Amino acid sequence: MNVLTEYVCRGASRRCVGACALLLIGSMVSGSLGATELPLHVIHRMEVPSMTPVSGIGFDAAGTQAYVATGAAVNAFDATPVRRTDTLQLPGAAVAMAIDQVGGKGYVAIASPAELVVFKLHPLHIESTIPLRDDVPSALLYASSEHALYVLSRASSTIARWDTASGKRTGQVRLPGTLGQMATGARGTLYVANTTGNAIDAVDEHGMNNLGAIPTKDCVGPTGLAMDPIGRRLFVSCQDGARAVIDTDLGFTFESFPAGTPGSSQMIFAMHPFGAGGWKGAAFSAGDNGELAGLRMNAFINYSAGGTYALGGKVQAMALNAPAGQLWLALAQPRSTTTHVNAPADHVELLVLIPSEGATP
Amino acid sequence: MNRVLLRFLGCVVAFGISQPPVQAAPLPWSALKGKPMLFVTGKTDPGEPNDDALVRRHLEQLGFKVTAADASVSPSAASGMSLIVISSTADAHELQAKFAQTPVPLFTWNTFDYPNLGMTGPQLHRDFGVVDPIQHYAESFSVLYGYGANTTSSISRAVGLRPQLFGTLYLEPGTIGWANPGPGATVIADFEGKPERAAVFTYEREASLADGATAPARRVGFYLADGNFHLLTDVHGPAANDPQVRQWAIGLKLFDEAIRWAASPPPAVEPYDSTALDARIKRVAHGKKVLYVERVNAGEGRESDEHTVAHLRSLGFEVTIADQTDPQTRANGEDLILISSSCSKYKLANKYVDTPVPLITLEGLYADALHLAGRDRYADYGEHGEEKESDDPPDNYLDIVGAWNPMAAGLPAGLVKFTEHPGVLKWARPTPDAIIIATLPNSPNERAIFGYPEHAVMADGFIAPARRALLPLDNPSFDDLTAQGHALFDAVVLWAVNGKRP
Repeated sequence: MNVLTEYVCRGASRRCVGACALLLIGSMVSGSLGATELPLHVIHRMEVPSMTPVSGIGFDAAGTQAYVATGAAVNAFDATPVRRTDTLQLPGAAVAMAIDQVGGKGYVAIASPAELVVFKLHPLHIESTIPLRDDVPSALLYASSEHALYVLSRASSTIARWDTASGKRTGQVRLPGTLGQMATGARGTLYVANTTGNAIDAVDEHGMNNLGAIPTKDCVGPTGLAMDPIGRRLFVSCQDGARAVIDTDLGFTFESFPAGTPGSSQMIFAMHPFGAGGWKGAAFSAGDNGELAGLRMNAFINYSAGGTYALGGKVQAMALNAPAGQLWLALAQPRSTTTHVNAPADHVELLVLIPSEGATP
Repeated sequence: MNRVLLRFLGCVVAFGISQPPVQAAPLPWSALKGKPMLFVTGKTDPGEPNDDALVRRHLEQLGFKVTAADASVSPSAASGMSLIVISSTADAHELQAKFAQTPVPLFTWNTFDYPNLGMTGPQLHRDFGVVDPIQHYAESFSVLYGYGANTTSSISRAVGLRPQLFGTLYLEPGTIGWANPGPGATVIADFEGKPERAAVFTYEREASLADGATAPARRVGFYLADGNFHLLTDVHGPAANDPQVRQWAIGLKLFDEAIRWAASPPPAVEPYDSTALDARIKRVAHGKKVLYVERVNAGEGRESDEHTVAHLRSLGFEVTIADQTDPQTRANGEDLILISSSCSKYKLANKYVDTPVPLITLEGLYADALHLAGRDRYADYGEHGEEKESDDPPDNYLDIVGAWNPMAAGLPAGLVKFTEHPGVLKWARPTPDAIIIATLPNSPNERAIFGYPEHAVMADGFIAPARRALLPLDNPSFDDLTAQGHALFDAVVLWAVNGKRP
C-alpha cells in the first residue's frame, strides 16, 4: 500500500499562504518564483515514498475528489482540504490513468501484464479488468464525447480505441514515429503529438483512420498536447521548449512562443482554470525541464505567455482541477544536495498549486 | 526518311518557331536550390513584430542561398544574385531607387518602396497605401479577404487561383500593403475585387512600369507587412482534405509561387522584325481557316474590309466571309473569327460570344457584348476621335505597355504610330485576366490592344471559351496602318490563332 506523507499547508487556507511561501523559499526542492513567474503558489505538498512514479492524476466531475495513480495503487483524496481518503490496489504498476468524470469511472493501464483496469470512483473499487493482448500500453485518453478510451502504445506506435460501454476494442491506427500526448475535443478527431515527425497526427475517431498531419512549425519535437473543450484549439509543447497554438479548422499554427528551457513535457488546458474572475483559459506545460510554463488565453484568437514557475524537478503527471481552482503536479525531486533538475531523484512529491493572493490567473 | 515524316518534322519545327513561349514555365523548385538571393531588411522598434528571420529561414528552406543586407546596401550587391527580396522593415527612404534599374528579379512587400521602383505612382493613398489595425481598424479585417483577380498567369495557375475570395492572413486584424499598379502590370489578387487595390501584382521583364520605365527584370509586389509572414494562410491536417479550405488558405502558396515565378527566367522576346513576323505568321496560316465577319456590301469601309481579307489570304489563311446577320454556326470548324468594325453591334446580336473559336474584334463597341469589358459605355469601353461619341480627339498612336508579349510584335515599350493619320481608336477596360499590350496615349486605363487567354475570367464572370482580343482598327483604317500597325495586327492574329485547340 502506498502512503502519501502529507506535511505542509493542510487545509489550503489563505492564512497558510505565507507559511507555505517561507517553506518554499527555504526548500531546495520547492517551487520558486522567477522573473516572469506564473502567479501561482503551492498550498499543499506530500511525499510519495519509495520512488514510485505517479502515472496519472484526475478528478471527479465536481472537483471534490482527486485520484492519483502511483505504483500499483490509485489513491483518492479530498481536494479541499487536501486529504487522502482511500486507496485502490491494482494488479500491477500503473503506467497511465484516465477518468470519465460523467460516468464516474476511472481507467488504469498496466504494462505487465498488459491490461486495463476499470474502476468506480465512488466508492473506489475495481469494476473489471480487460486484457490488452496487442500492445504494451503507454498512455490513456478518455473521450467523453465518444464514450471511448484511447490506449496508446509507444512500443508499437499504435492507438487502439475501446468502447467503454461494451468494453470492446473497436479500432486501431498505426502512426509511424515517436508518439507523445493525445488530445481530443468534441468534434470527432483525435490528435497525437508525433515527436519525431514534428507534427500533430490527426485521426478520425470513428474510423480510426489517419487524416493527416499538422506540422508544428517553430516548435521542434512536440510531446505535449491539449485541446480546448470545443475542439478548435490545440496547445502544443515541444522538446525545444517552444509552445504553439493551432487552429484545427485550418491545421494552422497561428501563435508560436519562442523556445524556452528544452525538455519533453506534457500539456493541459482548461477554460477559467482558477475561477470566473481569472484567465479566460490557460494551457500549462511541464515535464523534464523542471519548469511549469503557462499560456494565457486572452481571447479565443489571442494568447500570450503567462509566465513560468521553477519546480526544481521533473514533472511526472499534472492535472487541472478547475472547479476547485487547483493545479496538481507530481514532481520527481532530486536529492536535496543538488538543484540540478536532471540529478537522480530520491523522492516523488505531489504539489497542489493555487493562484497567488491578488493574482488572477 | 519518308515524306510524311519530313512533313511532320517540318510542322514541329514551324510550330516551335512560330510560337515563342508567352509564359515560360517557372523553374522546378529543385532548379532553384542554391540560387543566390539578396534579402534586404531593416529593424523594427523593440516590441514591434518582425518576421524577417522567419522569412529568411523559409527562403532557405525553399533552397535559396540568402545574403542579408540592410537598406544601406550598395546596388552592386545585387550583382550575380538570382533574386532581390525587400522586406517592409527596410527603410524605403534610404533604399530610394537604388534597385529600380537593376536587371535582377525583385520581390518586395515594402509598400513605400513601390514608387521608388516605379511599380506604382508616387502618391500615398492613391497609388499605394498601408492598412493597419490602429489607423484603419475595420478595414484591417476586410483585408483578411483577398480576391483572385487573375486566373491564367503562371502564378495563378500554379496556385490554382480562382475568381473568388481567399484568406490572405490568419484571422487577426492585419497590416497589409496595397498598390494601384500601372497598366503593364498583372494584378494577380486584389482586395474587395478592385484591381486598383492590388494585393499581389507582377511586372514581366520589359513590361512598362507605372512610371513609364521598362521593367529591367521581373518585379513582384506582395501584400505582407513587417510581422505577419507567419500568418500567411496555409492548411494542414484534416482540413487539407477539404478542397474549399485548400482553395481558401493559399496565402503562403501565393508567396511561394510568386517567389518561384520571380526567380525563373522570363520568356525571350523576339525583337521587332516585320520580315521575321511575316514568315512566322505565314508558317502558321497555312491551312488555317478564318471567318471574316463584316457588313457585306457596306458602303463605308468596304474597301478596307476587302483589303483586310486580301491581306489575310496573302498570309495563307483560308478566309470565308460572313455577313453580320449570318448565324454564328458559320464559325463551326473555323480557326479564327475576325469581326470587322464595319459590323453593327446591333445587328451582330450577341453572336460568337460563346463560340469556342479564337476571336478578334476590330469593333471596340462590341466589347460589352463579348464580355471583354463591362457594360457602361464611355466608362468601360469607348472610342477616341468619334465626334458624336467622344470628347477625345482623333489619334493615331498607341502606348505599348506589354512589350514582353508576342502580341506586341517585338515593338519596344512606349508610343508607337499605329496609323498614318489620326482617326477613331477604340478602347475598353478589361478584367485583370487580360494581357494588356497597348493603351491609348495618356489614358492608361483605356486599353486599346489586349487579349484574354482561353479560360480567362472576363467581364461579368464570363469564362473565355477561347482566346479573345481587341484591336482598335476602325473600319476605313486598314489601309492607313503603319508598318508597326501592320505588325501589331499580324502579331495579334498570330497570338489568337495559335490559341485554337487542336
